[in-house]
This record gives sequence, C-alpha cells and structure tokens, in this order.
Amino acid sequence: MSDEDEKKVAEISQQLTALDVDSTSAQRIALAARNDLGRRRPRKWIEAIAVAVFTGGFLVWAVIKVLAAYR
Amino acid sequence: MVVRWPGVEAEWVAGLRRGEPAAFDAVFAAYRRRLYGYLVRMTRRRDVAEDLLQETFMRLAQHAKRLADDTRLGAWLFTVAHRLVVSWARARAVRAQLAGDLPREDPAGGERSPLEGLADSQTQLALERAFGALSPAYREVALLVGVEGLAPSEVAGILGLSPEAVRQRLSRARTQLADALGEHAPAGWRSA
Repeated sequence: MSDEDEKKVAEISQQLTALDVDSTSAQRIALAARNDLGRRRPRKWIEAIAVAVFTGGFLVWAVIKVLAAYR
Repeated sequence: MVVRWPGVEAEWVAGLRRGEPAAFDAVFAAYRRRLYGYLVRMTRRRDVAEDLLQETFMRLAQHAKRLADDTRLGAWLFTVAHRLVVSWARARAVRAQLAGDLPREDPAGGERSPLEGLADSQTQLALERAFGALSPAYREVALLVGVEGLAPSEVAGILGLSPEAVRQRLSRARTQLADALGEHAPAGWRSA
C-alpha cells in the first residue's frame, strides 16, 4: 500500500505547476549566499559575552562612582 | 533534475569544502527550483519563499567547509528548508496571536493563492487547491515524496519522523487529495 501511495502521489504531483524564482531574484540570492561561502556567523555566545562585559563594566563603574560620592 | 549519488554530488561537496564558488553555483542551479517550489507551496507566499531560499543557501555557504564527505546535499538542503519553514510558521503563529482577531494572512483561507493564478488548466487549478487544502504536515510529505522523489526513509530523516509515520502521512495525504480533487482525480487514483 505504501509503494502504491508513493507512486500515486508522485504521479499526480508531476502535474503541479512548475515554479521558479525570477532570474533577477535568483542572481541576488546566489550572490548574497556565495559571498558567505566559508564564512561563519559570529557565534551567539560571543554576543552574550560582549553584552556581559559591557554591562558588568558599567555596573562596576556605577558602584565606584556611588562609593566615591559617599566618601 | 534528479541528482545521482555519489557522482557529481560528491564532487560538489568536495568543491564546497574547498570553498569553490563554481561548486556553489552548480548546487544553486541544481536545487534552486526544487527548494523554491517546496518553499512556495509550504508558505503559500512567494516573498517569504524567496527569503527562506536565500537563508537556506546562506546556511549552505556558511557550513560548506564543515560538510562531511558523504553529505547528501538534497537531504541536507531540504532539512534546512524544513527547519526554516517551521520557524517561520511558529513566528507567524505568535504574530497572529498578538494581533488578536485581525484577519488571517493565509491566502489559502478562501482567496486565490498566487499558485492558483499560475495554473494552466482546470485540473491544475484543482490540484493546486487540493495541495493547498492539505494540512501542512501532509502537504510536506506529499511534496517531498511526490514532487522531489525522495524516499520515505530520506523524508523521515529530513522531518525527524519514523519512516512508518511518513508512510502514514503519505497515505492520508493521498486520501485527502483524492477527496479534494473529486472529479479531477485521475481514474483509479483513489485508494481502495
């Protein structure tokens, strides 16, 4: 039955409209993606560390300022 | 276009691992129509399909050097495309929830979809409507097996399902397609 389902669904699917992205968009997509060839996206943890360092630095600075004001 | 493994695809994988633009272009030419067709029929929107197509190939480019020698590019690309469709659908569901009672954007909800506008005949129109009316889970299996010619075992790997679950979905998709097609269903097409 499963082979039959496979065959029948394939048979009717061949009649679906052929779709393609227009050539201008295809070129744009290919160019954008090809430029990324071999490049890695910055890892998410790098962003998290950068935010933590910035926030932590700001808090230390704020605490120092508050302590200085009370002296 | 059916890409035979290992043959040319193994050469493309090797080229991608070396960062060769020519290999990337060959893969893009071989898979762009297939992925785009899948993405349009899953999202029912051409603009979204183009965005997801670009994202799929960007991920290929970014992972190129880490591809295993025996990577099946078709399965790899459709796995990425499937995950992007799932993420898009989730984000869309959240947006719809936040928007409360605003009308649905889904063109399948009564309006003619862009796909239906491309149909050349009544049968093709009926077929597009029948595919559009399938639940996304059944439509996806029908597209991957029926249009892309992938084996249920490969589709199971792409969707993270068991091969048996894929076969069940395929069987239900066939029944629903036959019901939706009605008089447009080819003779002997309906399951017993």
